Amino acid sequence: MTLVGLLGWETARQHAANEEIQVTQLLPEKSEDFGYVSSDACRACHPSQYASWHQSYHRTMTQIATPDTVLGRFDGVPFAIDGRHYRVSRRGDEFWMEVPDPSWQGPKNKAPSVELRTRLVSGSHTLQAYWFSGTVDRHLYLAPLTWIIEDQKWVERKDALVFDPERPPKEVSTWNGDCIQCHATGGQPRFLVDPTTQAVKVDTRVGELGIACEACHGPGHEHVLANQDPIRRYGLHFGDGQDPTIVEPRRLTQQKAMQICSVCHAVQLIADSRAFLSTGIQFRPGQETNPSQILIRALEAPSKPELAAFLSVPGAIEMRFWPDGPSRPVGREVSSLIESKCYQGGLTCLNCHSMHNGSRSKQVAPEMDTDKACASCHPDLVKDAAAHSHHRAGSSGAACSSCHMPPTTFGQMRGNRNHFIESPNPAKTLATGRPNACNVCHLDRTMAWTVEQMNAWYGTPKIELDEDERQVSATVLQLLKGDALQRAIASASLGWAPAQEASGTDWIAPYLGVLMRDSYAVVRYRAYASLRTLPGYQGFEFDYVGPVAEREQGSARVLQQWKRSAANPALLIGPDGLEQELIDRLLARRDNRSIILLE
Amino acid sequence: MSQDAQSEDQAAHRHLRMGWWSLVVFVSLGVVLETLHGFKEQWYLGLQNETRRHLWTLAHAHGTLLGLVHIAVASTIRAKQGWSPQQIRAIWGCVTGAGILLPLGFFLGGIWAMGGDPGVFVLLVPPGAALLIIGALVIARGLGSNER
Repeated sequence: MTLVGLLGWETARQHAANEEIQVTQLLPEKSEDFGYVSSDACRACHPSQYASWHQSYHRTMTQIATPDTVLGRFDGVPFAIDGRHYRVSRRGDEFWMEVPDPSWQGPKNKAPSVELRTRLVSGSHTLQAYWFSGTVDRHLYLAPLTWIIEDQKWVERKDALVFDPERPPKEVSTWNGDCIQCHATGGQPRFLVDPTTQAVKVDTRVGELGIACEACHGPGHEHVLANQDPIRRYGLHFGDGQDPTIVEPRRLTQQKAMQICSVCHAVQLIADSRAFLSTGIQFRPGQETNPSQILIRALEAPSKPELAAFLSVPGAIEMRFWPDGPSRPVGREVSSLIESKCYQGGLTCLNCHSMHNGSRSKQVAPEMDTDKACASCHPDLVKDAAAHSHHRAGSSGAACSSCHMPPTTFGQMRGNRNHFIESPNPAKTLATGRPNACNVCHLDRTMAWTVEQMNAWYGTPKIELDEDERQVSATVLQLLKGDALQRAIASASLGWAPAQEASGTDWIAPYLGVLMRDSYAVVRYRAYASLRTLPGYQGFEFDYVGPVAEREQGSARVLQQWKRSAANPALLIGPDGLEQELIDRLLARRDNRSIILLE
Repeated sequence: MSQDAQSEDQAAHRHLRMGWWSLVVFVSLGVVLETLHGFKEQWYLGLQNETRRHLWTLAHAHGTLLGLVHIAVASTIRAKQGWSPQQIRAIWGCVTGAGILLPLGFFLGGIWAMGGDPGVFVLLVPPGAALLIIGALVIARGLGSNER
């Protein structure tokens, strides 16, 4: 009896062990190629830096799916989005998704359901994406569902992006050939082609999943070996600390330091796809140039012959950049910063951001989210910020970033400060469509008002405006007439506390109601989030990915619940309420061009 | 009682006193460290303070152990009489020196830890360890030569 029991236990143990071996063969293999040693090796000597990195969102850019890392609700309850049926469930420590078969070749709405196990997760800050493995190699495929952390809600992947609802989502996204460059450290896609059959086998390796120590400091093998010598270590402790065996971004030149962040935070093109799919990004921290990526700058791009193929893709520039050069989506802040005068003056990311001492959310160094960030170069302006800004001292309007870094980028379903550090300029807004800082905050003011103020305060030349620009709030115009990105930015601005303080809140709800029936899901999402910041709407129920009819009803309920505000022609509010005819006239002129913001 | 026996008795008493006071101090330190665990104090338990935690644990362990060593030495001196005054002085100096230098080196090294490395006060540890070894050697040899 005992023998039978022991045999059964041994069989079960071997089965579990075999299954574990099979799983590890489907995931990227951890490797020490190119001298990567992983954060485990750094921890023993740098516990403080390890701890600060461990708390960061960089670490969790990609992780193995485990009960500790999965944030989504895998409760087994079936649900549908736009008629597509899903069920996500948990079996012990395994996470499964029942989704329409991604490999189905027939009509999309007839795809049978298949159940796939989630192997990796990406993200843990605003969104979490999930990856399935194949069955033959280490290829990983993006699950169609994304978990919105703030809302605790499942949405389809395309609905978490500024993505034209009329366009089909990208058929299959793979982690190995794309996301690996910014979601792993020392990633090698290793798409291996069999010379006889030409079949491709994916044997991906990584130094480490997520963005870890060696992504910024370079491979650590030599450093670890050299510092096994205690005399050397204490020499460094009591000397200047400069260790040639490792890269310290803070000690690098501006160009070299920026190269490190640029790998992921600039718009880059893979220079040689074949080489990338084999050995990955070959840039290493400390190098002056990046051999694997070509930095794209919107204004220079057309003159570069090597970018001809890239530029031939419709929207290659427009979906990434504002017409005067800065980045439109979040996450590509380097592309914006390098177009700024401050960059010419020597500014780098590390002037304001700190990887080991910064805030968790945006890694902003202590006090660098205040005017202190600008004081080292502009002490006089900062000292007398009230006079310079013409705003009350200590108010949000007097803060440098309010006017020079307004939230005019969008991504991860929210607005973010533009790192193109500039002065507000209405002429530029008209030329580029990018909202200016004045109207991002003074939501109820017209462009004409901004032109007058800028002329009176700073001598900014007056410009010609059309009738709407003279009469109607610039933000209202953008949310009614603008393209999807402008509407997304407007939906975020309407919920921004400093803007609400400057502009009042009693008129905002009906416009958020308009945005809540927008065709783009992220606009609806952000508008709904902004609505809940308004008095009386905190508990408002609305499903921004629900059926169209329900969304229309939700939008109508916003209006019903609205207590009329005082008449204001700039806000299209008359004595009897909203000037619906004028609103409809502007809506009819909406910029409906297809937008797929390439985050 | 002969002068030697009186001297041995005094030495044993000194070791006992030192041993028990060491236990009071270093067991108390252990209680403090456990309390820090209990309240999950991050300046002690946080990942960034791993080196400090490790060194203070070593300080507690070595201090307690050296307290017990003092008590064992006292018993040894009483059990095997006939120690020379030089031997008694050497044993006292070595074991007491070790009992101070080892825990103090670890403790101060933990206060001023530099990343994953202890602070410079950890340099007190090697001489402390050397004294302990010498002390043990003197006792071991003394036991051999004092056999009756």
